[in-house]
Amino acid sequence: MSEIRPELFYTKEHEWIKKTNNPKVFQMGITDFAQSALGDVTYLELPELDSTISQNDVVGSIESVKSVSELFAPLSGKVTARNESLLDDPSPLNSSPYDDAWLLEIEITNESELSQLLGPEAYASVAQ
Amino acid sequence: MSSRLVEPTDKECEIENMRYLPLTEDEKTRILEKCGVGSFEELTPNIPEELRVKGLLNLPSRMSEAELLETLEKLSSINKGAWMQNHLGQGVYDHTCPTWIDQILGRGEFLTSYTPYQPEVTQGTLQGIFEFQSMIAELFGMEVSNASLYDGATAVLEAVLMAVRTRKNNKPIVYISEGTYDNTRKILESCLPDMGIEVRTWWADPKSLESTPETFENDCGGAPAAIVLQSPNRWGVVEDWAGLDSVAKKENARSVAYVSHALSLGIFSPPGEHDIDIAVGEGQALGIPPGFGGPHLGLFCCKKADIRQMPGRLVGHTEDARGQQAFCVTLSTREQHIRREKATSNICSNQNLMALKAAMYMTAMGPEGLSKLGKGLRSRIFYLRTAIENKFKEKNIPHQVVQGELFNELTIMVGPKHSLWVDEKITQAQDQGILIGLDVSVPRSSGCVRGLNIAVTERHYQSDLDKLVEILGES
Repeated sequence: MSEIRPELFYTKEHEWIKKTNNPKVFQMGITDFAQSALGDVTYLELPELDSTISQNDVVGSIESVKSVSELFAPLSGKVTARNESLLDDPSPLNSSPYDDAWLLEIEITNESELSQLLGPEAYASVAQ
Repeated sequence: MSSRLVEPTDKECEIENMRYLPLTEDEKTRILEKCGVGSFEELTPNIPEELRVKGLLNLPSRMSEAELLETLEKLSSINKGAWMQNHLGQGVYDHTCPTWIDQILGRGEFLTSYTPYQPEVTQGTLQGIFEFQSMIAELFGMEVSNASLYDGATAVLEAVLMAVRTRKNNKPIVYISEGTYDNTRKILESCLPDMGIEVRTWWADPKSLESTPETFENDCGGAPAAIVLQSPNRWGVVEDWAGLDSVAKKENARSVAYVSHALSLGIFSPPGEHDIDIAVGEGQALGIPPGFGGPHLGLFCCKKADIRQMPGRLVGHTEDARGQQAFCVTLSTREQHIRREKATSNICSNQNLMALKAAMYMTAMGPEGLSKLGKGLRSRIFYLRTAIENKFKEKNIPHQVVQGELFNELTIMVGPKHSLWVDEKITQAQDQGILIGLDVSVPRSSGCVRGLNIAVTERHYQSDLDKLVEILGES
């Protein structure tokens, strides 16, 4: 059984979203379920810093030994931070998907999109 | 038709009566009934009456095998071009290849093996590809080479697509040097606009026929994704990769070097020495005969940092579970059988046999052999240029021969008053059993209207070149 954290929001694309101290800025990553389905991640492609992204757009990719999966934007906004260290060594995506392996911080432009995110219970039924 | 050598045997007559398409009259009737038509012709009403074949095809009557062979040999002997003194260039050259290579290449393991779908059991094929990649990377001075593409022109196309993928924030515009082959330009212009990528020209200097930093004009109002320079260019002039590097850096574009003649790297400085991003090439000259326009060999190199965006297959060197040397298809997650429509390229097979032949050719030649051959070609073309210039001076012929550094090709440029000269020379030479060269367009700004492009290879001796000069000097 993969770990689902109660304090986080989720998408059906197996991404998690976390609030930060700044109410406009949200952190995102991939879930424990996602990393275990992918297997060992070998390469990561992230959107450029300061680039503008739209909800559900493909903004990057995660390559594992057996597949390449797309990274979808969970929310619309501007990329204000990227986890640069993961680009050199993506292994924390497997060992620490919720903590060390955050991917992006997004300053959101459309608050109404937040209501479309899944809570932990709803996500648990997706991640089976 | 000659008289019969040997009467066909009963067996051969029997075979003749067997139709290639196993459709019996009974089956035909049932199919037509099912389609609700009375005859096959009713299914093809769009073919105009006058284009339909009536009666039997105009073919000779049946022959025995021996007779058929003789007939075909006679037919092929009419085809003179293949045996003529050949100076056609523009990307396909009549070079020689050591005879042992075809002997080895004809082994079943090489000749009949297809693309390595089960890589772990095709270690020999993978080792061949790995060695090919290593040699090409060394020849180009680049960090990585892929397992090959189909030909030079499509390699340029793939390079442009890769440049656009890796420069997402730039304008989807590519500048290609004016000296790029016509066919390469046509391929880019037929594929790229539908993908939203525009093709523009990096003009050449009308005197030197080189595309230089001074002749580059950015008329797109932003940073283009890619800038492509071909060398040697289609007039035979060797271009400067350093100029490409500096233009690309200034414009914040990816630099694409197109080595149109792989053997030129035997003597000229390779793209890798000039920090070029993507270097591609045509590998036909590496032991592959001109054929009927193919198969050729696309060469593709890039920087290690970009390998995930590189099209085509890549073979790696690794160790198996027992610590023994092993070869593997690496980064195959980018390929279409895994990534489907998101693959970086749909080239997933490769020109394996041609790549293997090129690897054997490079092994046979070695760096010293390639350098010696390159010097020999260059000295032939300089001899030819001087001889033509002297002849023109002597005969008061006003045409210009390209200046600057050359490898194995040159172009004679003619002004508007002499526009038929090129055709005349091609015909005159043909009458003497020589394919003298190809009609090429020249920069509009040069004041000339047409060019005659002449290539030389190691097959040509001084006497052959002198014969060319005589023809060119005739009035």
